[in-house]
Parts: sequence; structure tokens; C-alpha cells
Amino acid sequence: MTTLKVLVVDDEPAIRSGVIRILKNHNVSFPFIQEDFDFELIEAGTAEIATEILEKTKIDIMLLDNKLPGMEGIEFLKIVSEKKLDLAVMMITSHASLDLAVMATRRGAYNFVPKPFTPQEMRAAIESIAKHLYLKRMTSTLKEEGKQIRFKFLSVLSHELKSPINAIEGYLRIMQEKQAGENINNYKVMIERSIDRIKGMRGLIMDMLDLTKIESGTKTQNLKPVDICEIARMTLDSMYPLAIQKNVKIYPDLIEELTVTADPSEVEIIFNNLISNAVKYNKDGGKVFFTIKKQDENIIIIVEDTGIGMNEEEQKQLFKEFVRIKNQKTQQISGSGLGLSILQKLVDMYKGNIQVDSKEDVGTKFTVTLPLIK
Amino acid sequence: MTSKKILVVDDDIDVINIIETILTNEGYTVVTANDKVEGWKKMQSEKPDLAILDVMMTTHFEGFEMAKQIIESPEFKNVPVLIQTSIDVLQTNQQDVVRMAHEYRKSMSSRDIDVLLLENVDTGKAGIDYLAEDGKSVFIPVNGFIKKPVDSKKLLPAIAKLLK
Repeated sequence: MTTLKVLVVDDEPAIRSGVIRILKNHNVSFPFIQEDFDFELIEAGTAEIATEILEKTKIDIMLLDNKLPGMEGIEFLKIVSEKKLDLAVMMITSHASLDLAVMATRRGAYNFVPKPFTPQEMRAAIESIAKHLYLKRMTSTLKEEGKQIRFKFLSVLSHELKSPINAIEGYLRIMQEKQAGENINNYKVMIERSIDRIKGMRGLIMDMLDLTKIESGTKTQNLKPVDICEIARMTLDSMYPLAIQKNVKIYPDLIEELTVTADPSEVEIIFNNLISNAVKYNKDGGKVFFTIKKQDENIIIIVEDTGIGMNEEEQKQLFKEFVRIKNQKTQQISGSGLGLSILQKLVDMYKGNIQVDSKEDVGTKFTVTLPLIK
Repeated sequence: MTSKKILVVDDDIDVINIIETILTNEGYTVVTANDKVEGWKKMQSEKPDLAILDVMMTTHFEGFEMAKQIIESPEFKNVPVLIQTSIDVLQTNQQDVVRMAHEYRKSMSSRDIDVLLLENVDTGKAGIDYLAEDGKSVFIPVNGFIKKPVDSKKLLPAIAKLLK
């Protein structure tokens, strides 16, 4: 838990105590940030008192009212930004005026909360500013390491996580307001959909963890002799429930035994991603052919489906992070958009390669070739 | 009870489901679409009294593009458009929303801001100012914004006001 120090500068004691009440026991956590945040609140009635506090204490976030006795908020903001402190400022304004907004952003304020604000609005604003502060601090660390690229990843990721949250919150509000009447059965579909969206989010988080582990190299490879056909059969067993639901039949064609040196959990991820895609992006009554064979000094894994297929443009995008082929046919299918990025990285680790052949409305064939290491 | 027809365009079937539930309960007729192309077809076949558009669908600014299409068409230019958004809306009491947008963008030059949503608190006049893919700033007047996640207490009054 990281505690952020919040300085509330407002001449109205009621506003100050209101903000304190709202934020005192409030925790903020973000799906992609390991730490949680809470807030320690410090009050100041004037800009002059706030100046004294800023000199003595390291403040992370300042909530600043514009109308203050003595020096005005916007004037104070100028002085504070000249000091180049590592803090983020949120303005509290009674009229959310764009003119003031223009001036305040010029002087380095991050966002605004119009008065009167609801506890929810205040919490949302503080969450946004806490995230901004964290990301800002992280950027300077990342810049040093030359890893700004992760940044884009994070921003896409937050969008991917926001959508299911919005959907679930919308359903919960409908239930809270009893929009569909008193009978709980009327809400059955909404509850099921909410659970599905939560599952999707969990899947995304799990995929992301896999990906970050592989990329950062912290994933300890547990290399040992394994029979990959055995793992394939286990993966298939776990895939049948999904296949039955989707009315897709899987036809395995595996050799009896093939022992190689590999990490069994990684081999499982490879099979899992290939087969689950072939099942998910299939048609009703479709088929999946799953073949493992040995050819010269290579293992050949082929997963072929009779599904919706992809056009050339879609195939080019396929291995990029968070790219999910979006069209009418894929709309009902859930996925994180990370599965194939993970597959690609794992196959690279084993010095193998992936070949994709696909035709729209006919199907897709993935051929993974891995060098045989005994 | 009203018989007004509302078009909801969103690529998230759950969001459509939520808005549809709220509006149907209120007596509105709801038609839905999952993207700009389907949405435009529904505009023509269903002739709705109001459109609610999501922004990011198949492409980044699809909702904005559709809003523009509606506003620029002789047939539908008077159909009110509400934009669903999860970014903050800037409020002003300046008459000239477009000018304020440009001034604001200039002041933000150090930061990368692609989209500004503006609303005049007195008149309710609203608009989107965004940098299109060719880097040009585009302004589209709309009739208001609906903050995500959808809240019936805010959605219903906004619609009622526009359909009066």
C-alpha cells in the first residue's frame, strides 16, 4: 500500500471536511499496477498556509479551490508550478469555466472538479489523478530504461479493462433501480452477462501476466523431458467442454509418444492458445483437426479449423498485442487479444516458427514448427 | 407514454442491452446497430427521432464520423445526436465553443490531446473537436454527451429534453 499525501486547499471548512470524509478510507487500485493507494489528508484554509505546508512536507496531490481569501487559487498555482515540485494539482471550481480551465492547464493543473461535487465524482477525479501521478513517475523511470513502449501497452490495456467494467456497472445500476421489476429471474441474463464479462477480464489479466513474465525473462523455465503428446491429450480433455458448447468437433491425430526437453506449462499454453482459437472462431457444427508429427529433426503441430477465417488484411494484424479481428462474425466471441502474441513469443523462445494459412469463410490453419531438442 | 424511436449504436452488446432496457422501460422504441455502416442503414430504414452513438468501435473515431454524417445529411440534420463517452467533458459559458476549443488545444500543446468534448453550460450547445487521422482538427456540433457507464438518471432527462 502506498499512501499519497493530499493537501486540500479551500477556505470553506465544510468542503475540506467533506473531501476528507470522502477520501479518508478510500483505496484505489489499478489492474495493471501492483501497488494499491490510499490517502493521507492535510488541510489548508489559505494559499499562505498551503505554502508553509508545501515547504515542510512532500505532497503528492493538491486539491485547490480557486476562490481563496488572500491569494487566489490560480495565482497560487502559478507559484507552485514554478517550484517544479513532483506533485499533481486538481482544481476545485464553483463554475467549471473553460476560461479558467485554459489558464489552469497552462499553469500545470491536471484536472478539475466542479462544485458541488458528489462523493462519486470526487473519487473518480482522485483515481484519475492518482493514476496520472503514478504513470508520470513511472515514465521517468521507464525512460531511463528506454522502455516507453510498454506505455502504449498500458493505455490500450486500460481501455480493454474499462469496457467490461462499464458494462457490469450498467447492469448493476439497472438491478439497483429494479428497472426490470421485483423478480430476480428477470435479471438472469444480466447476471450471466456480468459474470461472463468478469471472466473475460480475468482471462485478460492472466494472459497479461503470462506475457509480462515471458517478456521480462523472469519466468523461470522448468526444462525437463516431457511427452508432448501426453500434454496435448491433457489440453484436449480440458478443451472438450468449450467445444461441446460451441458445437465443434475436434479430431486429434497424434503420434503415440514424443519426448522432448521443454517446460510443460509453456507447451500447454501453446496448445491451449491454438486449440481454443480454432474452437472459438469456428462455425456451428464446425471441425478442428489437431495433428502432431515428427518430421526430420522438427516437431510439427498443425491446428486446422473450418471456421470463419480471415482476409489478408486481418492476417497481417494477427500477432500484434491486443489486436482482435473485429467484424460481425467475431463480435460475440470473447478474447483478450493477447493469445497469439503469447504464442509467438513462446515459439520464438523455442526457436521455432509459425505459419498461418487462412481463407475467409473457409477456415484457418496454423502450422507450428519446433526444432526437436532431446 | 411516448412512441419516439431511438437508435443506439455501440459495438458492446452489453451496453446496447443496458440502454435498451432503460429506454424500453420508459416507453421508447429502440433500434440498434453495432457499427457505423449498420447504424447508417438503420438511420435510413428506421428514421429514428434521436441517435446515441459510442465513439470507439471498429475504428478509433467511428462514432464521431457517424455524427458528422448525420449532421451533414439534409435528411437527418435535425435528428439530435448524443455521444457516449468515458472522457471528461469541458464546460464553458463562452458562446463560441469552437473558438474555445482551439484556444484550449493551443494551451495544451505540450500534452497530446486528440479529443476535446465541449459543452456550453447555459445553452446546452455541445461539440467535439478532434484530430482526425490526417492530423487536421475537425469540429462536429452534437446535442450532448452521456458519460459512461450509462446512468438512467442522467440518460433519461437528457433524452426527454431533446425530444420535447
